[in-house]
Amino acid sequence: MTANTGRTLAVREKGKINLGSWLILFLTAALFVFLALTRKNFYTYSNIHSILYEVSFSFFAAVGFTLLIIMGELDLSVGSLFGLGGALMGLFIFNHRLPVEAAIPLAMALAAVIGFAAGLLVTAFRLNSMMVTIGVMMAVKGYNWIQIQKFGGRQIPRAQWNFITVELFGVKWTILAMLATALLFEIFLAGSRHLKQLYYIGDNFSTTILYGLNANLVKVLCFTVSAALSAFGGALMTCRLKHPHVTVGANLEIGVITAAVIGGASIFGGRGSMFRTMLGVFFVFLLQNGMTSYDINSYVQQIILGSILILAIYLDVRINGKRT
Amino acid sequence: MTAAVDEFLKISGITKTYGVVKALADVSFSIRRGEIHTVMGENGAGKSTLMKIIGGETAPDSGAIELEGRRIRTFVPAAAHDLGIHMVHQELAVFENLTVAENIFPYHNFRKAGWIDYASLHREARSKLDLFGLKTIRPEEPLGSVALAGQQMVEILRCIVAEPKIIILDEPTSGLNDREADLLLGILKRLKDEGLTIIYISHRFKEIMRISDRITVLRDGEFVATLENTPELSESELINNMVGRDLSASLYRIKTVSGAAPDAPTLLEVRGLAKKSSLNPTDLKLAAGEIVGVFGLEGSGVGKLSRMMYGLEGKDEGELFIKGRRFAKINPRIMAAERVMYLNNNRKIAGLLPEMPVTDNLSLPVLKRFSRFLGFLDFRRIGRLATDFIKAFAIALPSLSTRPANLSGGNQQKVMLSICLVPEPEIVIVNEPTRGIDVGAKTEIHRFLLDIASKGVGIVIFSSELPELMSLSDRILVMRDNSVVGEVGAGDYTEQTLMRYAAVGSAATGGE
Repeated sequence: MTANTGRTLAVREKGKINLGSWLILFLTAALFVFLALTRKNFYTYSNIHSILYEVSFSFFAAVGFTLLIIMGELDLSVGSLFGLGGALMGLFIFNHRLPVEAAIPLAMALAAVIGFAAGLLVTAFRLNSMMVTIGVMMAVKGYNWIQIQKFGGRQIPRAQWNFITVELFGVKWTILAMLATALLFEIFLAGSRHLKQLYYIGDNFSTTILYGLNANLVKVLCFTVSAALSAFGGALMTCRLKHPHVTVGANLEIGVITAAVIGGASIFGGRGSMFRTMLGVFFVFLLQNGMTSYDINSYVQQIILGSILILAIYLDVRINGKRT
Repeated sequence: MTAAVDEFLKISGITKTYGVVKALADVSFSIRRGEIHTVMGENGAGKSTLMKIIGGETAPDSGAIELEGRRIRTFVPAAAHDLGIHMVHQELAVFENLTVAENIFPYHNFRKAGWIDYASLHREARSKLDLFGLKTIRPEEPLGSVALAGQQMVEILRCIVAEPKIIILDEPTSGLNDREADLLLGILKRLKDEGLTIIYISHRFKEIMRISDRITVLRDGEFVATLENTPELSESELINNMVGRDLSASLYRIKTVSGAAPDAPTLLEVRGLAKKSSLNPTDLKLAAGEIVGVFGLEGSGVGKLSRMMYGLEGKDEGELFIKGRRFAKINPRIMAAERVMYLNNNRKIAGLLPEMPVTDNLSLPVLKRFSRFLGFLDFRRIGRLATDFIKAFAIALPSLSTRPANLSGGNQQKVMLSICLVPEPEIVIVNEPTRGIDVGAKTEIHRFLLDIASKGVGIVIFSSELPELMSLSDRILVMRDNSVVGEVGAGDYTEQTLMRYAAVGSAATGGE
């Protein structure tokens, strides 16, 4: 035998349970059952469907966010870029008289440029991603306000927003798009080297560099995708509202980070799941819906959501932090 | 109540389990007052756990520790400090942003009317530093700017100023070069003469035999023996106690004949690699099947050379030829694509994915090779590959999904070497391949390296351990002051020759 007989002695299981993978399912189910039992109009097809409809837009701001948090980077600009999608929709449709099928890709492309630049600052210039994206958040938010105020509540013509109401099998297509996107990313994250490497980068960035992965490029691409998909969600949301509005995407980053972290992602990187992030977004909206149905003041709702975010981060640090 | 001098610290029947794993099983022995007592054993033998218990960092499941006849009941570091037991960890616990003086006296009050009295703080620190002969370290400078060896000394000084009864040193020389280790050992000896009891953990036989009064050997969590360090005590006796079987008298068989074929083609050539104030123009040639060793003391430029030739650090000038093809730009991506791999010197910083299954670790450098349509990975093939490597390298794993963070140092190192060999590289740059691991794993890793070289792989090995270099290398380059100052071929190896190159830059004897 080799020198290693009995070396398993050195193996020390830390006995850490991965709360993240079960927590979100449990929480969502519990809240769902609670609301179904206590609120009369909650457990109806139309109510659930309308919650999911809301979720389906915001989810797109959480996609890139999840990819980035897996790599240990935070993108707090997703809310503003979501809003930018709406502002640019107005710009292209009202000012440039473009059809919606051109306006949405263009809005996404412009947002992508911003995401790319943020990614470059984080990788090539080694700036902290949270700080960079807070900067982007402020700057883009300012632009959104300036732009949207100019529109003065002008409505998008019906022909342009009509596509948003399309249903397949009695379900809004955006809900199906959300499910398909989550599923697709989940599959690629689990099995394809292109996305699986995100976990490796998140676990130990230097190691991936050492063995020849282009980890910086991967990060830049994910910042780009994050921005483009956020703008996509915001553009769709604007079509649903039929006009650009400054509240689109407001504080969305808070909901998204809460969703991702209670969905099992870790701010330390190396963990996260697209499907559970989606559940997380659903949970956040369910909670807001439930609180509203209990007539809880919207400012009190903010206090509660903020507390939940802190609790989620606390659990994350307890479970994933301080690895030795 | 006074206990016998022989039982200053009495360890009796200590057992500690982590989950199903028994880290310590009924360990009993005693430490004498005023001795240097070394605790040895392979990685995972239970040394660290035992030290943590003595240092008050974790409580034993059963058994007792008695200091001067009084049983210790509270296992927290503060309680251990109150009893006069201090521990210096292998990973230093220092405040890099504070000054040297503040690090030496973190709990002391140097106050004058509510303000910190820096003058007397620095004066005190100066005198303590002088005590250790650390003339070059200034009390005012931030500790982060002091070399590792200096930081180590400062941490020991911090323990000393607390006037302890016992200090525990966990591999204090692992990050030091020979000269620095020498200085440290001298200081320890002096502290012992002043009456301090020292518990010492190390893997380096030479220093253990030089410094210890007694040596206790642990194996697989069990007590094996406590040996008096008499002149008759031999290395092989210690090794046999550690591994429990005969490993042949000498751990290292010094190479006397180069293993490389004289007509072997050149695989790698470094030409004029240089960077201002850290590396003078350096050339290096590596043939197929050849093992070239590079030796140098800390600060000699060895680290820079190894990192620069893999592109982990930028260069100012120089180029690289891989099988005759010229590369003016060097980065890890290019090197990996050319099947050049790099074994990092510090597995805690880079080289492993600590929280990912071992299979994922092994597939990391070959993700492309194992992916099919749309990049989907062939997990069955990856699993087979991992199984093969685990078997070939005798890595002790509970399962394929075990994460390196839960493995012993020796097994981590073997996983890391496996990662480097998975892509079937033609050239491997190896940096401190056996740092901080036990002799068993060490000899295994040496065997693997010799084995792949015999199959035609070229290896450049950077190591601070001369015997290791002399037993592996076909020739050894010695660096000093950022330049290669000498080359010694197999057959001409003596520690004296190589050390003389490293220390004074020439092989000539005398006249220092």
